[in-house]
Amino acid sequence: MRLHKRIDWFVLINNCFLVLVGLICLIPMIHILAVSFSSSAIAATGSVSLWPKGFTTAAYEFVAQREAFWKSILVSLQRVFYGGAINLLLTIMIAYPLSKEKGEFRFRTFYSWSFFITMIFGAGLIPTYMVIIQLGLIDTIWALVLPTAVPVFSVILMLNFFRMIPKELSEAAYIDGAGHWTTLWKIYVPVSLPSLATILLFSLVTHWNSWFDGLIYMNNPSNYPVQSYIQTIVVQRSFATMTPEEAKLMATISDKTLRSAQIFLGALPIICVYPYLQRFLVKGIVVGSVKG
Amino acid sequence: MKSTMYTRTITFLSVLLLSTGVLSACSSNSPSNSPSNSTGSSPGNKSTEVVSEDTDPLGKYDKALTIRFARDVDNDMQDNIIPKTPGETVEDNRWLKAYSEKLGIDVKYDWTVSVGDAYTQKMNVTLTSGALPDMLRVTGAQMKQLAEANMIEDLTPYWDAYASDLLKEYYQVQGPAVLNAPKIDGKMMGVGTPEVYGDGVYLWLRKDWLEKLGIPAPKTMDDLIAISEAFTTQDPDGNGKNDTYGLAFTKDLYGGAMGLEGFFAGYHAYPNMWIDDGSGNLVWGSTLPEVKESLQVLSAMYKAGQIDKEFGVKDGGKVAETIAAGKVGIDFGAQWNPMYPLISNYQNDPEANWEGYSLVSVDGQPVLSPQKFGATEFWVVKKGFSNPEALIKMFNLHAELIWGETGDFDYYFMPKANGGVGVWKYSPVQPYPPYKNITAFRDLETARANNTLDQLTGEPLSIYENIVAYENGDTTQWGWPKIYGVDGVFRHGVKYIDNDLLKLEGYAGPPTPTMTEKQSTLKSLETEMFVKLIMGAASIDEFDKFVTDWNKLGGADMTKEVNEWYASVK
Repeated sequence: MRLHKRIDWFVLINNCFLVLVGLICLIPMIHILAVSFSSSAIAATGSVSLWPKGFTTAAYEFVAQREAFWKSILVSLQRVFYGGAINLLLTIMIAYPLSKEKGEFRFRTFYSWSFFITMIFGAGLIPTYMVIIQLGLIDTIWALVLPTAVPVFSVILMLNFFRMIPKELSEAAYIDGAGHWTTLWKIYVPVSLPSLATILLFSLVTHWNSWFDGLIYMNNPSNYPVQSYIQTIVVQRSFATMTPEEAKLMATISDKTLRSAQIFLGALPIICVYPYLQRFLVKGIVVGSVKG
Repeated sequence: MKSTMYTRTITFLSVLLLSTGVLSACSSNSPSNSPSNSTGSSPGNKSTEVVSEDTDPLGKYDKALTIRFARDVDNDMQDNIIPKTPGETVEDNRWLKAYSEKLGIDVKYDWTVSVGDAYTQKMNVTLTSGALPDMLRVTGAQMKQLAEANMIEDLTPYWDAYASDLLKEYYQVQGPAVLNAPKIDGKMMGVGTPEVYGDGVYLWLRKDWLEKLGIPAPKTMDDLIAISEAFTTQDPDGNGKNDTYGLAFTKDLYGGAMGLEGFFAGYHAYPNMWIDDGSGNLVWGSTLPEVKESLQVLSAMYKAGQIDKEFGVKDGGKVAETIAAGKVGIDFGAQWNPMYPLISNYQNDPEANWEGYSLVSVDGQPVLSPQKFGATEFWVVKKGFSNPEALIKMFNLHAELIWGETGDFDYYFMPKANGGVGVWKYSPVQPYPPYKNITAFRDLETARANNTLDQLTGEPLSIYENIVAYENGDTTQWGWPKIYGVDGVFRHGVKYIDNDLLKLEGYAGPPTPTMTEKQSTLKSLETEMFVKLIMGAASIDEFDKFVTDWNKLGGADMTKEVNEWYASVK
C-alpha cells in the first residue's frame, strides 16, 4: 500500500514536470500563431497573448505575395535535400570502417581521432570563411552543405550502433561471398533503419534551422535560406543609432503580425516532418540502449 | 541580448585587428594583390599626377572603368523600390546607367547583404579575407584599422582636386567636424556623410490629453513635470484605472526615440557625449554635476509612479508597445518619431494626437538641443586601385543629378511615375545636403505663406502631396503633417537652426585606442549606475563614486586622448 502511494507520487510529479516542460515549448509557438492572426494595430500594443485579437489573415495574405520569403523556403528545401543526403551517405560510409576492430582495420585509432578532434576544436569563423572563399563556394548552395558534410556526432552514434550488430551476421555474409560493400548495404544498413532515421532527423533539423552561415556565405540576399531571411526581419534595431530613414522603415517592418506569420511558416515544415521521424527516434534510441 | 552583441562585435574586431595586420604584410609582398602598390608610388607623387590630369568633377572616362562595390539592401528596397520600378534591379537600374553613361563607370557588386548587423559582419569577414572590393563603406574603427594596415588610399589630393562646388558646400554646412572625421594623421582616408549631426531633439506630447485636462503647453521643466504628474494621476485616458505614465524611455536611456537627451538638456546637462567645458577642453558630459541634478528629478518622478516601474528591462520595441497602447504621454526624440513609434498609438486610438514642441528649460537660459556626432560610415578606396578619384566623381554626380542645376530630381530621387519610392537608394553612394528636411519645411512654409504651390518642386512637393493624402483620409500618412504641417515639429527645428540652439558634440574623430578597448565597459557601468539611481536602488551620492570609478577605469585616459585630438584640429 505504502509502496503503491510512493509510485503515485513519482508519477504525479513526473507528469507535472513534463507537462510544464511541454508548455514551455508550446506556449511561444501558440503566442506567435496568435499574433500572426491578430490585427497589426492591436499586436503593436503587445496585448495579444494566446488568442488572436481582431482576427485577420491579412499577414498571411501579404506573406503569400512576398517573393523573397518563398524563394528562401526554396533555398532551404534545396539545402535540406542535399545536406541530408550527403550527411547520411558520408555518415554510413565513415561509420562502417570505424566500427571494425583494430585487427580488421589497422589505422582505426588514427582515423577515429582525426574525426574526433574536429568535434572539439574548430578553426573559427575567419579561417573557415577564407577556405570557403578560396574553394569558390561563396554564394552557392554548397557553401551551406559541404562545411557540415560530416556530422561527427552522428558518425559516433552510427558506429556505436554498427558495433552492436552481432558479428555473426557479417561473418555469415562473408562466408556467402559478400564483400564489405555488399555487407554494408545489404546487411548493416537495412538493420539500422531506426538509427538512420534518427541521424537523418538531426541533420534535417540542423540544416533547416541554421542561419548564420547563410548570412556570411551568401553574397546576395536572394540566396538566403529561410532562417537567415527571418533573422534579417526579426532582429530589433537599436534606437540609439537609428536614422530617420530607418525610422520610416520601422513603420513598415515593425509589423509584428507579419513577422510572426513568417516565423510560423518558417517553422511549419519541421513541425510537419518531426512527428513522422520522431517515431523512429524513440525506437532507434530504445533499440540501441536495450542492445547496449 | 545587447551584451552578447557587444561581445560578438568585440571578438570580431579583435580578430579583424590581428588578421588585417597579417594580411597587410602579405599584400605588400605580393604584387598580384595590389598591382600599382608594387610600383612604390607614394601619395606625394600621386597627387602631382592627379593635379596634372584633367580634374573636371564630372569628367567622363574614355575607356569604361569597372569598379567593384559591396552594398546593403534594405526592406524598403526589397519590398517597395524594386517591385515598383519594373525592369530595374540592384545590379541594373537608372543610377548605375547614369554612372555608366555620364562618367564611364561600370558599377559591379561583389556582394549584397541585408542592412545593419549583417552588413557589418559580412564586411568584417571580407576585410579579413583580404578580397576587398575596390570601394567600400566601412565603420570608423574599420577605416582606422585599414589605414594603419596601409590597405586604403589617402583621398586628400583627390578630394581637393575633384570635389565639385556643390559637394564642398554640403560638406561645410555642419562645420569642420565633417571633414575632420575621416582624417587619420592629418590625411583624409575616407569620405563620410555630409550630415553628421541630426536635426534636433524635440518634446512630443499627447495634445489631446493636455486639452482634456485643461493644461497649457509647457514653458519650463517645472511645467513639464507637472504635466507628467497630471498624466499619471488624473486618468487622462478616462478608463477609470490608474494605468498611465508620464514619461517614456528605454533601458538604454538615450536614443532617437524614447530617449532622455531632451530631458537632460532641460537642465543644461549633456550626458553620453563629449562637450567643450568652456575652457577649450573636452569632457564626458555624463560626469558633470548637472547630470546628477537631473537624475535626482528623474528619481523623484520614478518614485511618484510617473515612469514605468519596469523601464530598466524594456528595450525600444517594448516601450513602443506602451506608447501604442496609449499608456504614456511624453516622449523625447527626433523629428521622425511620428513615423515610428507614435503612429502606432494613433492606429489604435484615432483620438491620440501627438504634437511636437521645442525643448523646455529649467531656468530662463535657452535650452540647447544635444546632437551627438553621428558619422558612423565612411567610403574608402582599396590601396592600389587605379582611379581613386572616381569615388569623388560619383559623389559629385549623385549630388548633381538630384539637387544640381542640371539634375532631374523627380527621376533620380522619388519618381512620381513609380509611386514616389526612394530610387536614390539604387546609387551605391548617397550624399545629401545637410538639414535637407528642414530646408524642405522652409520651402513648404514659403509656399503656404504665399498661398501658392507653383514653386514647390522635388522633395517638398512630394511631402506636400503626402500631407494632402492624409487630409483626404489616408491614415497611413499621419506622420507627415506632424512633422511638416502648419503645426509641424519643424517650426521649432527652424528656430533651433536660426538661433544656433544646437549643442554639437565636440569629439568628431575615430575611436581612440582606449575607446576601442574600454568604451563598452564604461558605457555599461554608466547605464547601470544611472538606471539604479533613477530607480532609487542607489543613493544619489553614489553618483560621485561613479565619476571616480569612471575616471579610474579608463575614462581619464579617454579624456586625455580626446583632448589631444581636439588640440590637433583646432
